[in-house]
Amino acid sequence: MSTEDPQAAQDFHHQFDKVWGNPRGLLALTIVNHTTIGLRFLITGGVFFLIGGLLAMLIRTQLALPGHDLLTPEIYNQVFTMHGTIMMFLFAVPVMEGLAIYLIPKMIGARDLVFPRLSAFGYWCYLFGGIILTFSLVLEIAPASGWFMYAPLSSSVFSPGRGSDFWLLGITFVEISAVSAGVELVVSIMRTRTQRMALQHMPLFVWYILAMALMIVFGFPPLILGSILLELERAAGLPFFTVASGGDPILWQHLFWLFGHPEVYILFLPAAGIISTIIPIFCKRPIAGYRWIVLAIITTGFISFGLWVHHMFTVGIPHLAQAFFSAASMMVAIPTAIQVFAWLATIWNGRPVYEPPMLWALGFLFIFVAGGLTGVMLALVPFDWQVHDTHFVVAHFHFVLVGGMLFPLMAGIYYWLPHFSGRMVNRSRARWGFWLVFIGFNLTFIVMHVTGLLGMPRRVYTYEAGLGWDIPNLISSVGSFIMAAGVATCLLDIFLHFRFGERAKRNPWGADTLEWSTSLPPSAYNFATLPECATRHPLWDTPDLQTTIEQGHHDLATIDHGRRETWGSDPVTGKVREIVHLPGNSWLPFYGALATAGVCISLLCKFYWVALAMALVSLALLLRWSWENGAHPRAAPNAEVVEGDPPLHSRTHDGPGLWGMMVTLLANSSLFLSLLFGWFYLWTVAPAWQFPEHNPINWLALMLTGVPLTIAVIWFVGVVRRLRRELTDHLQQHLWGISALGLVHLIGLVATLSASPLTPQASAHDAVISVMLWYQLLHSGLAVILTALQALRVRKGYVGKMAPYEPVVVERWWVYTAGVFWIIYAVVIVLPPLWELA
Amino acid sequence: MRWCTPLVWLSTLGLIGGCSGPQSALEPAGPAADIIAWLWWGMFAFFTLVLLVMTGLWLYAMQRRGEPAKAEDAERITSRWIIGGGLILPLISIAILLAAGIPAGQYLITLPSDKTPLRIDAHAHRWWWEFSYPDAGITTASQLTIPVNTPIAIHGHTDNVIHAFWVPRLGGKIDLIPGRVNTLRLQASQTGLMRGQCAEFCGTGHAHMVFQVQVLSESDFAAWQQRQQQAIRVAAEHEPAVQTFHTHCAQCHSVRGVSNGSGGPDLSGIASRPLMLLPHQRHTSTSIEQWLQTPHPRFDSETRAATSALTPSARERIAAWLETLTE
Amino acid sequence: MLSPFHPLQMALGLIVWALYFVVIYSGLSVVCTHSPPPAANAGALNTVNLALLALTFAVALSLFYQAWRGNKALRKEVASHAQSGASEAPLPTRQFIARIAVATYLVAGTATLLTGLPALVLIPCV
Repeated sequence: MSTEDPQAAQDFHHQFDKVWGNPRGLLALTIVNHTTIGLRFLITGGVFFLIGGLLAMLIRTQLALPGHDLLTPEIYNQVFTMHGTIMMFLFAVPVMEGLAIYLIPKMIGARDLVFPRLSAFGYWCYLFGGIILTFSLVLEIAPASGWFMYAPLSSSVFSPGRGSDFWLLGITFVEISAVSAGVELVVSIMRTRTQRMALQHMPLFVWYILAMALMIVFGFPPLILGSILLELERAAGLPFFTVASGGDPILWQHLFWLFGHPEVYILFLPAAGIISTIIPIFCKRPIAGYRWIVLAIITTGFISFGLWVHHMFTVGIPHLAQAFFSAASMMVAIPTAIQVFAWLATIWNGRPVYEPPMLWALGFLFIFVAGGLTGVMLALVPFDWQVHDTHFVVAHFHFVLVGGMLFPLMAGIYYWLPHFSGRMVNRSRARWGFWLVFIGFNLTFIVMHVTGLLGMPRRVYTYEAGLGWDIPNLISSVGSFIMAAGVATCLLDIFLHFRFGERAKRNPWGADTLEWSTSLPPSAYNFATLPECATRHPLWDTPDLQTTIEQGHHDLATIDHGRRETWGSDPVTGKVREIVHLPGNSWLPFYGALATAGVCISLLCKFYWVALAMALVSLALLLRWSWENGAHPRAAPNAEVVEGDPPLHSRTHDGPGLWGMMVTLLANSSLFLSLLFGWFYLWTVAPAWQFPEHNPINWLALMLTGVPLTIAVIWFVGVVRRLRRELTDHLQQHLWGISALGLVHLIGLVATLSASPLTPQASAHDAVISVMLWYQLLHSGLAVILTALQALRVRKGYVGKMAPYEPVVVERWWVYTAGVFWIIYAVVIVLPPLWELA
Repeated sequence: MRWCTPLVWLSTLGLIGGCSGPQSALEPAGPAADIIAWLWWGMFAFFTLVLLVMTGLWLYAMQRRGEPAKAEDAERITSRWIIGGGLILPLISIAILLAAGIPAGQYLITLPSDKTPLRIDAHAHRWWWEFSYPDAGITTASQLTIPVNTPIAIHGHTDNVIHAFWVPRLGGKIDLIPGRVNTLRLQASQTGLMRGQCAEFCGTGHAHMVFQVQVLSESDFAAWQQRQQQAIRVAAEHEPAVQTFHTHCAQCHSVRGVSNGSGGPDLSGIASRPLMLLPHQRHTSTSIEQWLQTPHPRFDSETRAATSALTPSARERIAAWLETLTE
Repeated sequence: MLSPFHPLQMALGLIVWALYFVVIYSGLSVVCTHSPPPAANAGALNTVNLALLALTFAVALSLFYQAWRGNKALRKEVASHAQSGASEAPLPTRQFIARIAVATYLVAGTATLLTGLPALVLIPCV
């Protein structure tokens, strides 16, 4: 449809608004649109940043003078623990995700993310988890073992209160949000780019976010597993980290840093993405070395998973093994240096202008390079032995995180503010804010390196005069207050601009990427019609793109079917394959998150039966949510499309949902691999590990339970194969049969488990086996339920010959479940006797 | 950006001017700390140079006037910068660093010497240090006495949370982990007093988990060891104090030849030791008395109950006696 | 074998590096816990280090070989494409993938060498 006539154009957009528009009032809780969710993430993250910053001010006030007794050690320990926790988990990661959630669909020319209800669910989990966690601070029972919660300090023996539980449960809850955003971003980037946006045309920011999201998918599960294990140890006495029963506290450190180091790059990559986006715009020329940067992103993503032991150089690991990590830690400097020099080359080639975003980008460069260099120092093993756990390290990681994340974030916020608000900021206030933060930051943290070298350990609530630490600490405290004033100035600037800012004109910075072709601020559907994009610089190549998009000159211009639609395209070439129809606003994500919060709170209060009930409620809500898919009346009952357009994704065999399942299973397998790592680690390294004389699990019984599972999987695979050939006779009966077979397996598994003399509270060996089998139970149970639901859906006509999409997705779950079963069988039943033989 | 350069210089001057301190890694007093300090200064000089050059390049690139580069020039400039700065520079730096760092680490681990190392077991409690010398059969609390120019093998033990043993002027740190015994080689090259501290966060009393290191000449050390093996004789005037001590304190605290408690620090040499918060200051009768009156909140409830049961005169008696217990 | 133009090739080199990394680290830890080599002071020439170095070189070599193979295929494709004169085909994407893949193989090979080289000088289990 093309609409040159203004009245027709208004009607055209009005129709889109009817389908895509956001409700107001209480119903705003049902919004699933990525623009709104992204902004909610950003604002909530900003609030947590202020809380975390307030805690930082308390820390600096306490340390300003020797022997200062503003805070007792108990409170101080809570304050620094929560400062780190809030800044990392409730500010840095969610804000970066929020920015990605807001920008990615707009950059790749899509109307929304691919799983909108999941975005909303993730946001609510983040919000509720954050509130629960912060609430502990108000109650003065906040966690107090440091943000990395080392066992056994965080165990129930040495931290008897609820503090550690708040941390473990709250963070796991928040983590759900991180992982779901990660999955969603990966699938959106891979599968919903606009027509002909091939890999080499993706804006660099999209590459960065793709890497970040994949790193979240692999990096967060180890921590989720670690938190579950530690909470099990605290609440139920399963001794994973207790030496006497065959556990090992070092296992916690491995699991934590397996997450913790990639985490740093999870924060840095999107930040670098912002810089790579901004610099070319303000230099008016394409980024130098696009392919180099892509290479650097991929390399960083991998190598950052091989660094975690550099946080553990003092735990007594063999020096040669430390050297591997030392080398890898230094190697990660290479891709970083490539990016830094690519930015330099871009500036060198162009004629840059000092706009506020550019100022922050320059500040980033100085601070981040300095932090990177001290990072290389710390990677040098002997030097690390000296400064590990001192204020030198504190200074280093603030350089890396503030320089590598906050400064680029501010650059990005100033850059995209006109997009959020449709207005421009006041340049002079922006400058003031920048310089105050920059000077305050450097004053605080340059000097803090010296404090560390003078021997001040981190996490001491006080120190005595006469050690040479007084003056540097005072300087740091003064600096931190200057920085706080700077942050306040920036916030004021941003607040005021919403009201008084000059109206932004179209594409105010003269940018090249698609997000600037929406209206400012954007409509809920971003683009009335979806443009082709076979270039890295669509807006530089076609400056009137915004007009032609609004006038309906591009694709997917029909809306009278009432579906929210966007392109589904080939992950490599970007050629359109199907129309993805997206669900609309819904209460289910909100209720689901509320029920999950209920689980979290009842676990905290140790109401285990309530927790179980709440867990069942949230499962039911999530299943209810999955019910409204495919040919369901509230999804896409009618599969008609405009002639020439590809089919709806729910009428195909490998739509984005399949990708969603695969990426989720990657995250899931990362969790399972962490569990296997725990098993092998304790087995080979824990000082008091012992195999019992007889394996508590009956090998024959367990094998027998595997038989129906395996048959069910083979059966399911066969059914899906027939489905792909459009053979759907007796589909419902097949699915019922598979589900029943799965149930037989499930019953067998429960029987085997309850008949075995496992004593999970007495030995780490039995504890790990128990967790593995519970994990198996959960997967088998879900497989049975999902399949039964599929059978029901066939009966209702939501799934079948014309909508064959969902069984293909469920099939992967079955295959995974069976794979996990036999791996568990191998490592628990087969391997130990073989090891004894060897 | 113009602000940074003076800042860097200021901090540099600050470093050179104020590196000394009882716990400063920049005032090394042993071969291991020496090597680390040298590594630091080398890296500091080199990386400061890198940082300044990088910043300079950026500022220069920002200010450059004239026409923007043409496409083919831009290509050439880009690959020159990326290959030169992004690949070659870091690769060379890494090679140099590893070439220096790996042998240095190896040396620090073994700390070769023709003398057999003196073994000392460090036990980390919440929140104080106990040192025992298995060869001589001596145990001290909060004070580590070592001979100069002799390799020391610290064997670290803990039966509670993770701690880290660290004397910055002598060398790096090592974590003390339940279920394991980690060892650390140290050596002092000059006599005198310095300070050590727990570096791994271990709970409420973490900030106070300090100890004094006393480096003695070899003959002084031998004499010290001998003194530590003899029972303490109680002067007649202190007999009543010892009686009170037996009732209230001896269950946990031992004093050589007087009591054999367990759980709390040995008090035999208390008057030669640093007061918990103030290193280089000795316990005096006044400070001990004060302490007995209001013990630090980080101490366990048993200690607090025991001290609160003391009458003022009992406190005075005990303090007067403890003041005489020098090493 | 996957074609050098498959998008997975952009990650495969580093996946191999990651697996190599896990193998050497966990292998070394297990050996050091259960059967450390007898003479701790005999220097870096012992079975453990030799095995580590052999693995390092084997992995690095195979990664470099993959880089070479990808590069050859890339050149061939570019040449044949120039001959046929067809500019419509999705060559840029294939080329892009292959180039990144070759580079990641080189990076992974170098990373392998850098990671493993400490085994030339360090004694394994102290």
